[in-house]
Parts: sequence; C-alpha cells; structure tokens
Amino acid sequence: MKNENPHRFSDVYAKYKDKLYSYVYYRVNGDKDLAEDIISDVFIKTYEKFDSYNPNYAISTWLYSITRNSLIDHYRKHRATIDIDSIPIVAEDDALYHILDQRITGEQIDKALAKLTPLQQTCIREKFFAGKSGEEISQQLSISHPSVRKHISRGLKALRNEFILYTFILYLVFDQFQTFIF
Amino acid sequence: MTNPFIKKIPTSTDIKIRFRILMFVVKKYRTNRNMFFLGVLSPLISVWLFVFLTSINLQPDIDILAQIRMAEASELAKAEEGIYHLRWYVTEGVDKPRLVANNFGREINTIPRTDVLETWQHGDNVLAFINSNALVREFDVYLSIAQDDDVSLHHYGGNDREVDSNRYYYDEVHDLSSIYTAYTSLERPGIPKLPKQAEMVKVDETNRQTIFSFKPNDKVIIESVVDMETMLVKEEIIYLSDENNEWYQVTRISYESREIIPATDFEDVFDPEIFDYQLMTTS
Repeated sequence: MKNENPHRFSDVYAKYKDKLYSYVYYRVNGDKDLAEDIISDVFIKTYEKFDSYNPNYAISTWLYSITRNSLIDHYRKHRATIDIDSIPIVAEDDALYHILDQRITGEQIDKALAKLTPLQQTCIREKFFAGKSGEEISQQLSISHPSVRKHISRGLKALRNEFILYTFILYLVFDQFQTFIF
Repeated sequence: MTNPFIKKIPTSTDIKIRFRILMFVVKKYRTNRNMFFLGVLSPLISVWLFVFLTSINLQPDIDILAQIRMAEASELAKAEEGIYHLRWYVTEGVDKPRLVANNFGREINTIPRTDVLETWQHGDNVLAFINSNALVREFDVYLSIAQDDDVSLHHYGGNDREVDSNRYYYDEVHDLSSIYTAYTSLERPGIPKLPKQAEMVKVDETNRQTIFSFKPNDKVIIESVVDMETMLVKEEIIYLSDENNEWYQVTRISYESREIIPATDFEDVFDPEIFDYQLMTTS
C-alpha cells in the first residue's frame, strides 16, 4: 500500500531544485553537462518514487539519499574512465549538503569562514565562490591535490557545525521576538 | 543575500527536467491505451500546470520571503546586542485632503504635516527625538530609561507653537502621532518588520523593491515596500476606506538610516542629564 505524501511534487521541486543542482554540480567538479544529466535523473526518480516517501523522515533527507545514490550509480558505471582520485567522498555525514540546506547569507558565511584556518578559507572560497577546480587550487597554493581536498572537507565540516549552532540560536530568537510596531 | 553556496539551476535544465517529467507521464499512460484515453486528461492537465504555471516565478516568491525573514532575524539579533538607531519620516498621503473633505463635507486646506523621528532603543531603554511641522510641540524628546526593574519615562520640549486650526480635521481623520506611540510611552517598541500575514503584490525590478500588502481589518490596508538590497521594510503606506468602500492613501512612513550602535555607547546615548527632562510616568 502506498503512503500518503504530505508534500506536493511541484512545491518540492521548486524548493529543492537549486540546492540539489548545486550539490551535484560541486560533486561532479563543476561539470555542467554531467550535473544536468544527473539532476534530471534525480528528479525523475523523485517523481517515480514520490508516493513511496515515508513522511516520518524529513523530505530533504529523502531527496539527499536519492541524489547521493544517483551519484554513486554514476561513479559505478564510469569507474573505468574516472580517475579514482577525482571521486569526491560521498559520505553518509555530508557537510556540503547540510550547508546547502541552510538559510544563510553571504555575511553569515563570511563570519563563519573567518573562524577557519587560512588554508581552509582559501580552498573553500576558490572552490565554491571562484569556481576553480581542485587541480587549479593545488597549483595556486603549491600544495598537493589531496591536501586541497582535505582542507575543503575539514573546512566544510567546521562550517556545518557553525551553522547548526547558528540555526538553533536563530530559531530561539526568531520565535520569541515577533513584535511589530502596529 | 541567499546562501552563496547555492547555484541557480540553469533555466534550460529546469525546462528540460519539466519536459522529461511530462514525457515520463505520457509514456507511462501510453502502456495502457484505454487508460491513456480515459485517464490521461487529468494527469496531463496537472503536469501541464506544473510545467508551465509553477514557473520560474514561483520560486523567487518563496526565496524573497525567506530572505526577508532572514534579514529581519539577523537585524533583530544585532539589535539585541547593540543600540538600534533609526531615522524615519512620517508624512500625510496624497488622498488625505480628499478624505477630510468627504468626512467633513467641505474642502479644508492646511499645511501638510511631516514628523521626523530619530529613535534609539536597547531593551527597555528608548530615546526618541521628534520634530514636527504641525504640532504645538515643535521639538520633543522622550526618554524611557530602565533602572532597578523599573522603567521611567521622561519628556523634554516646549508646547507653545501656534498651529493652523484646520490641522484638527486632518489629525482627526488619521493622527500621525498614533504611528509612534510606543516611543512616547512606556511601551517597548519593536523594529519595523513585514507583517506575518502580508502577501506579495509585485516585484519592482526597476526600483529594486518588492511590494507587500496586509489588511489588518476591513477599513485598513498597509502596503509594505521592501528594499531588495537590504531585504528590510523601507516604507509603509497606510490606506483607509470610508463607508462607501473607497480607499484613501492617508499616511506614509519611510524608514531611513538604520544602524546598530555598540552597546558600549549606552551611557552616551541614554544620558538622563543631557536635557532638562521632566518625569512623566513610571511603570
């Protein structure tokens, strides 16, 4: 028997299309065509399985698992042609997805970035805001490619932890002060 | 103002995905010809609506509101840490003379009123400088100051200006002072925010602003103008209706020069010695 999905597909699509696209885009190292193919598959699968969504779990978690599985499928199919070193770690505890799923502004990002090490800051800014590849960043900073990945991975985890705390504080503040002058 | 890690999906990809979903639904129903003819219309119409009507314009609505709430929460959080300083202008709307004429059965002319406020607030402590061109009090200073769990309100300013007597009719219809009573009493004022129930009316890309509308009751509409750079309310326009349901723009409030002053400046800003204050009331 199918579950009743409390969400509308069109709403889910409108809310998550940019977040999931961004996630896939970064995970395929900025390859727009590949990101486009994978994200199309993700939404077709989402549409197909929409009635089987279990409302006990957050919709964002469910979408994340579909996206993550699509990425893993892609890597499995293209294992022969992909350099194993270029495959990002698609871990269960994915800091990048948490960050994409937050409502945060550039100013808040800047504040949180300022708490990271200089190398972590540079690697994250170059990769995500300047759109550079890991190879380009490693050449620019004269460090190895695995080092760049390590700095990005640790930096993203630190950012994620920062935003979890921020979101909690914001929730408390926002919930308590809903006054308006009229 | 959005999460800078998020990249916008290219419009071409967006359209392709919607088209693929449409094709997927068509293919699914084609597997059963009878089902296709009998049941295809309703899902196709739904998908058609999804593809073309839940357009690219729906997402910005959600994004804009989310960004406004984030900007407000951020400003509120900053304001809680420091002293919130605001300069605002309260003026009469273009339709006020017409509403006065309709109410009192004749045209009444007078000088248009403008109140300029400069306000500072930190917790229960509030300081308000009020300059008006149409009150007997030309210049008022109100200071609410908290001490030992008690808040006291002080006032400074003269009340001997001669004002055109026709001003009475205009203030009777809608008194600008009613907009800022929280600053002239022991009330604790809030910061200007978009009302929760406000609905988006339009995005004005030319002027980089978004217009919202809110109807607190049958006789009042408040239009809020949100600046697209700061994502904060920069202007509010109040409309009143008469018994014939005709609407009049009566008051405009424009918020300018928002800033957060460090809390360390508290003694300098909320200094009870600066003016020859008179105690008005104590909570």
